[in-house]
Amino acid sequence: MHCSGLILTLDPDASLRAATVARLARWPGLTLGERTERRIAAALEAEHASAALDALEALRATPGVVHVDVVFAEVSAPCAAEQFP
Amino acid sequence: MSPTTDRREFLRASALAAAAATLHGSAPSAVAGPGAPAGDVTWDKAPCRFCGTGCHVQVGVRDDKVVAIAGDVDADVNKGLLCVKGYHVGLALYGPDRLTRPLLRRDGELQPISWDEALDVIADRIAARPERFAFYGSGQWTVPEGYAAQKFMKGGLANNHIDPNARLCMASAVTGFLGTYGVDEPAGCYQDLDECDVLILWGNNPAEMHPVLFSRVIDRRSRGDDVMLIDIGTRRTRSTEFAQRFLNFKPHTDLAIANGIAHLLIERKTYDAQFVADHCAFRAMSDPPELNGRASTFEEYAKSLEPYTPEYVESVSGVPADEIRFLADLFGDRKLRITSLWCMGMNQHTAGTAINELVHGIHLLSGHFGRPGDAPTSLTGQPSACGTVREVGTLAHALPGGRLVANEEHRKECEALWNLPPARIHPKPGYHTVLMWEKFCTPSDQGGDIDTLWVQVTNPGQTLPNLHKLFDRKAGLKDKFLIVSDVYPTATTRLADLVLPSALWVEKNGIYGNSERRTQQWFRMVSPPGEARDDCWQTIAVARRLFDRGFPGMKDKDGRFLFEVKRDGVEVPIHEWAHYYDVNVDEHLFEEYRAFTRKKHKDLAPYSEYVKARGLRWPVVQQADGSWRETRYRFAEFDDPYVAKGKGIQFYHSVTKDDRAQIWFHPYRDPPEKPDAEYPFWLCTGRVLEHWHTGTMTRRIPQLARAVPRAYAELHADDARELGIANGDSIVVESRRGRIELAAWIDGRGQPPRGSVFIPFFDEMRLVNEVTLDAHDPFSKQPDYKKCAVRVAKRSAE
Repeated sequence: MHCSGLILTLDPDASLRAATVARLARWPGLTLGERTERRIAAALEAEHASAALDALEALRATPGVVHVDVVFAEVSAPCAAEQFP
Repeated sequence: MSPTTDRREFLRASALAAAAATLHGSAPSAVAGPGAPAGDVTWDKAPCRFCGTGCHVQVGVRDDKVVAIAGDVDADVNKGLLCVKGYHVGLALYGPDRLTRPLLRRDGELQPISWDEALDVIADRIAARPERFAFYGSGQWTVPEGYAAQKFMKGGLANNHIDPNARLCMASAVTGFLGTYGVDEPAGCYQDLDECDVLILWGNNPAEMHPVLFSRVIDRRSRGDDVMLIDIGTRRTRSTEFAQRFLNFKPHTDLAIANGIAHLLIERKTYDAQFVADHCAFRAMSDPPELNGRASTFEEYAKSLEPYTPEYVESVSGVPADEIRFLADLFGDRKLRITSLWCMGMNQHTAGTAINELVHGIHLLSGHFGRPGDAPTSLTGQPSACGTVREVGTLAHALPGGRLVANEEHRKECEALWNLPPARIHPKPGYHTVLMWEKFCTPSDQGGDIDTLWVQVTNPGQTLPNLHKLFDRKAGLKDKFLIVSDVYPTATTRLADLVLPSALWVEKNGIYGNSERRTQQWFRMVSPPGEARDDCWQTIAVARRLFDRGFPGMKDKDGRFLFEVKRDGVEVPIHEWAHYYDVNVDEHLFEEYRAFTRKKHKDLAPYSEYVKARGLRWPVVQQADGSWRETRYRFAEFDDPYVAKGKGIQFYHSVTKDDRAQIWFHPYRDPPEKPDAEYPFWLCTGRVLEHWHTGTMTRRIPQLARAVPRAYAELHADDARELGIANGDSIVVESRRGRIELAAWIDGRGQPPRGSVFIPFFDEMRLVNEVTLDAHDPFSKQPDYKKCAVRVAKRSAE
């Protein structure tokens, strides 16, 4: 299991924001935390680091999300299958 | 609740706490967050191991292992944010092939030996021919490591053959600062990015190379700040995507662009005549050429610029004349605050010193200097290129604190501070990087007078230009001996005769100095694996071995060991690994080094101040109340304590000794190699977001290796079509010096213009420096990795 702490920055268009937050709230493995007007703290859990990277890319591509900053990463358990050859 | 669930909830809470803390810009309050011990994880601060930005991370440790990384919300540099490399930095320690034992090549194979044997081998080589020994390091040396290496070479061996990888990285920025202000390193700081109205990227891609800094600008925009971003580059990058204007120039012609701006400022009389009259002088190249050139006049300067009309600049550079006028309009507007940002694009340039000085000159001529947001600022690529290389002076011509080996007075000052006998330090500069490796790779009987070369904290077998000439030839030279201290097998260790396993990052104490003059300290948090040991210890242990054999250079003038450390009046045997951490050797070396830093107004505070801080920017000067105050803006009275009252701006290290900065004229001249009928493409090399430097660390971080697993060649779609190359095809890129095979990437992350190709250098399986050119700047001696001529073909069509 891999866990990341994220800051999600949302689109300035307030009319989009509720729908974006609703979509994020349903995101598998994503726990939303405190928020300001346009930024939300979140924790992202994934089975392994590759899945976390994929999820980050998908989050970045989500309509209404302007960018995603990662501020915390648990690094104790890299997936064995991904070891550098 | 099961242990697994417990752990899962603990991690989730940690992640949310760190994110919430960053959101509010405050220390985390949740139970599991960094900043306080929680559960069985302890947290401490460290600067990130990778680039020169100097982000601070919080490192979570459990059972002598790094288990989590969080952005440090108390850090001014990154305010809790990290880039993709930064939040995986902890994994750099745990690649499966860490070097854990000294290895000596016997019968062609690297075989384990003891540290004792290894130290003897090195001492034997040095003692036999100390003048034919060279030390090669980098801006990844911590300040104490670099200082120890510097003292060992120049104070101990009376040998100036010490140079760093930084020579390949930012030497032209150094000569540019010296030629302009008489003293190295930027006057401004990262706050300029928060204050500027216009940010000009000169051949710079901070979205990938310095992403946390770039995000400061993008964040301002997202908050509604009107920041204009102008990208002056030779290819479209991720940074271009955010720019309002992209000025695509032909490689090497940035000198013409800078001259075109200066020409218009003078022709239209929009330059800042008062600033120039009060604070500037003019300079032009001397005959023969010297770094400080000769005095010039405003009239001569203006006359020299006359040919650089917008139309002429367009004909040379390909940048439309109206864009040159637009840039001149911006610089002519005193209300705006303009920050110029550059890194390798201007530094890895055969006219690197010249283009650095020209960009400084535009800022000085237009008075865009000395206010927050109004600054010419260079960035560095290595975490302590400034702190160790530029300040400690681990360069062939330098001594600590901005002193020079060729200056008798400077040598005497240094000998006094090191308590050396008179005339110990050799007056002749040693070999700069390119020459050092050329001498090492040349047979001894043909003038190759470097026989033994010790590499620490860098990977020249991948980074040197023209590797065939400057590295690969070592393979056939039996009398040459290469020693490599590193943490992983690398492109350099493949030719090493002796490999020493090193401790990495938080496996040792350390101090770095980042791009904005910020000195940053951290403590050892985990043990290095196996027999891996600190680079600084390795240097001191070899010095001691020589001392014990009676080598005179390792004694000071009172007969004491050069690296003697006493506690309660008794010498601590720090040369024995078992006792190295009985005292804080970093603190001892740092306090000794501090005396040098006051020589050129780069004052550092006591070590203990850095333990408390997330770095401090020099000069750090003690206040009347005993506290220590850092300096954000040099040469400006409102912030720099060394500016005399009432002066406003004072360039107090002026080369003309009159408090004036120098505005230079340098003509545009063709580069040493251009595309032709045989080699019709430009080649540019560089980095990618996911990998740092030669990838020895980031390629062992599975998440990063997976994201960008191998090097590639970016091509323009039209060029690819003409050559019959499709995306992903295997292609050959070949120059007059070598060839490389790799996959083509068309319309990828970066988009080179027609007639050019870009290849990143992180991949040791695809060494682009087999292809590059070793031509270098005449003053900085920095090679040009950004342009040489190549041909491109689909592999099957060869």
